[in-house]
Amino acid sequence: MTRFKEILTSGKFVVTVELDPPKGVNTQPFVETVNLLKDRVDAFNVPDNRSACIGMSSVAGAVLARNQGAESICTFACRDRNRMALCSDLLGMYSLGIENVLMVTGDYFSFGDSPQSKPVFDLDSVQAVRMARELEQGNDAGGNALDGVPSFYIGGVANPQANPMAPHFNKFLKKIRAGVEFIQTLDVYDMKRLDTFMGQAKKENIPIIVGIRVVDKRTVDLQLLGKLSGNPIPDSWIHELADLDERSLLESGKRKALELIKSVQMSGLAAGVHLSAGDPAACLPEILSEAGI
Amino acid sequence: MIIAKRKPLDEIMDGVAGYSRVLLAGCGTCVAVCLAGGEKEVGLLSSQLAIASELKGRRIDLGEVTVERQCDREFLDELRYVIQDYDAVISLACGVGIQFLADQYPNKVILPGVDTTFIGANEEAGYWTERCRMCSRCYLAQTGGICPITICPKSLLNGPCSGTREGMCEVDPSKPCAWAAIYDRLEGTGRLEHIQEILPPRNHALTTTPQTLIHKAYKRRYSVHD
Repeated sequence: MTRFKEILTSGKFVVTVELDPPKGVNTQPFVETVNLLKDRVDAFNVPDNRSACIGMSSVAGAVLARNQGAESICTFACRDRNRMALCSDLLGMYSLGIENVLMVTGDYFSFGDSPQSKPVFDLDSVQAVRMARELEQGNDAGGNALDGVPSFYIGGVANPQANPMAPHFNKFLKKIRAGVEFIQTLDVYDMKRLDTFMGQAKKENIPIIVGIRVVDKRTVDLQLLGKLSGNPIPDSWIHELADLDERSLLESGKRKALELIKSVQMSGLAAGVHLSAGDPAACLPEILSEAGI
Repeated sequence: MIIAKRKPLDEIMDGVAGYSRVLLAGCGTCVAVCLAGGEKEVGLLSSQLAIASELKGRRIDLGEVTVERQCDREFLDELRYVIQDYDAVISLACGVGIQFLADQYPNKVILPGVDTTFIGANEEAGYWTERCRMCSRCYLAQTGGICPITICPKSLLNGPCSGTREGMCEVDPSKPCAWAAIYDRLEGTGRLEHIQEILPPRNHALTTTPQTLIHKAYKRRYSVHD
């Protein structure tokens, strides 16, 4: 059992942090952020070319974080690898000591920095979860026997603000049937919609970690350019943010993130929070302290 | 039908830079309907090339011909006596027709005059939309007559990605999310059970290129056996 699974199944309110591996090979800032935050959070999610922007591989990032004594959750996106590459990287990841996986479809290239890339999407996230479970049974994606089998703790993504919710919820149920054991959500801004989703999902009895983003100038700029993937900053708030200078905007983003963390803590419905920030080292310690984490 | 779009004039001009006698060969089927390579478009391209060449001080002898279909040898035979008078041919057929023409006349320089884009439907005058990716395994019975391989940019088989925004596609917010539409269609016709089971991964071996199809009634003729 992974340390992350132990914590998540213990009922403790967990905190995970999104931490991009470097774009390039300068790993120093990544490692420094891991060391700054590792004793205050339960795991680092290492994205797989997040928002379709090229970066160091998530497996390498997850290993770098683990080498600092931190718990890693390695993201696998279906966008960039076919079933053979997903299999081989999952096996490689396991052999390097990483077992926590977040299986995602992957943002489309139009949001990223290499828009002429070929979309792979050989599998969708549901099929990829099922394939990883097959690896645990000793079979690769072609049905061929493995010599030594891995064991994973697999998570999936859900969007509590999905609209319409019904088709999304149908897929959420498929992910659970395929074998996900925990859920991390997209960034949430609307507590009302989160509560409705959590109420609906409660009977599935799966730990759900709520995504919360510290909105900064880059987030606002991306949304204004139509390049922000995932849930948009609410209209009412972004108009207010767009008029602020960079520093005031980040302060507003931090206040809102703290407010959302507290709401999630108080609601008692979620297993924890998953925090994203442009510069986690700069703003998360303060937010964690104020949230009593 | 096959949808194509005319290549930019500059690219076509560059292609024929070394040739003084050029035949423009149109196709009277799909590319004529989508206003890219039929008889009218051949005439238009001919005028454009003549003017552009004149402005550059070059002289090109241009010929025009349009056949019923360039993807059928029967119609390409008609070009036998026309084509011999030219150094190069710009085919305004789809990629299939261009290749077939080049196969039929291997000693001629055959150049593309269009970019072949997709298989689509005629929505309204001058407006076409892609509807089929030719995946060799049709899912439309399960998905309410809406193709997730084509209509979803990620070709997802088991439901929407997390990016659906108010029922619209995150990749192109002007288009409905394929999976929101599939769900609505199936719900409206009482068939939601079709998407409650997990669809397995696609069999991409079915689409290994280049594909060949021989009708079962002709298998003996071509010495093909199952």
